[in-house]
Amino acid sequence: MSLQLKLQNFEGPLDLLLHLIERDELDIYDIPIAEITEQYLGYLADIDSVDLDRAAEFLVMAATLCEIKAKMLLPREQQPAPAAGETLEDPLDPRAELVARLLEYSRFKQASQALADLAARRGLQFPPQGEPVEPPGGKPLGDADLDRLIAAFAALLKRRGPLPAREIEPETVSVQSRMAELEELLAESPAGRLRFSALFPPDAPGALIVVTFLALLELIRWRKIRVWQAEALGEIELQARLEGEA
Amino acid sequence: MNFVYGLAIVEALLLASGEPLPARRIAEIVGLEERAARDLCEDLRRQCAEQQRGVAVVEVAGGYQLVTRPDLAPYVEKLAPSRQPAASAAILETLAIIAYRQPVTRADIEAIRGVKADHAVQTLLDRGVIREIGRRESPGRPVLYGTTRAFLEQFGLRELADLPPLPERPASGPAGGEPEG
Repeated sequence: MSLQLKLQNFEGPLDLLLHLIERDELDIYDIPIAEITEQYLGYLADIDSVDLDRAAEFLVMAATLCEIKAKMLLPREQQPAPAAGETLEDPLDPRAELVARLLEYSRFKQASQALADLAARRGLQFPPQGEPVEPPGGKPLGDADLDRLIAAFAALLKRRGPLPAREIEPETVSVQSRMAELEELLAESPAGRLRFSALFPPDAPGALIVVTFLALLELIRWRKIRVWQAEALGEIELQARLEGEA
Repeated sequence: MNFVYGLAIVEALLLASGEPLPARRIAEIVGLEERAARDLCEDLRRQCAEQQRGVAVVEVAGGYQLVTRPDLAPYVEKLAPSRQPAASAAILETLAIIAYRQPVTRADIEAIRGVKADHAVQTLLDRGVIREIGRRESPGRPVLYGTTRAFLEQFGLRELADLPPLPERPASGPAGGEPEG
């Protein structure tokens, strides 16, 4: 008995099938479906050891294989048998869809290996260490520092004091349009940076302040901007992220 | 500004930046045409190679970057452990599908891999190598994913067109043959 890999070693049902095909040097365009179904089912013996979602994926394929196997037994319209080296293009062949999926998957499996090679090669190139000069001194606040942002907002509202009594005009600014405005503002400001307080002039109406803050949180969530704080208790700064910046 | 001084400035900028620096940015800082900045980077690259320096200039993710010479990695690694943990097969397969087929939905990925993609997609989002780039105008308006600049940087690619070609379908059977692309 040769070394039998466990079910957990496979990325999924297609991976397992490809392994069986390669191991036995089968022609992917002419899979002996009865044989492969039997082998496939053999692997499902230790299905207890994989979680429910993955188990379901493997079982669906088992059902598909059995279905194909049954269909292969049925008589169907005579098609010229594909000559050696010819592709299985007969759409009436019950295996056609599975073969197409296996082929497509195997292309990306190979491509992923190429990516791994690229990453390995790139891993040999070490860039200069240390704080990059480009962003201003200070570290970007992580997601966990939402608290600090909220604290800054609270301090701002407090500094602002109570609203003077006046006639209330309906505000029409939406969070969405304010997001777009903020992005424009950042794009136009030097080095794409703005001070947190600059967004909240003292005379801004209350609704606008709230909408601006919500827009800010949205932009952070969508990774459109990054939030900086050069020093503890220092002024919080906003900076537009370059496209794709991590 | 003479040529040697120009090279020195570019070298200093690349060292200080650490990250890939677009030629346009160098041009802005130095006050040059982008073309001239690009030429300086290429000259610096050549000089580093010719003089067998310990550093090399590479072009990745739309910019130039100063890096240690790849063949010296065994020494450098003793100083600093490698930056990224190796990605699992599931992560890499998912990334490959997104890289070659973008924009794609999670369902597109699942159709190709035959397994759920939630976890892999989330991991890739967390690593910043993919991002949401819109929604497909089909029922449910599913999110479309694409790769980021950080993807190019991590895989040492100048641009997406630099990806190695997607492998062809394997040839049929032991006899070989000409499969449909």
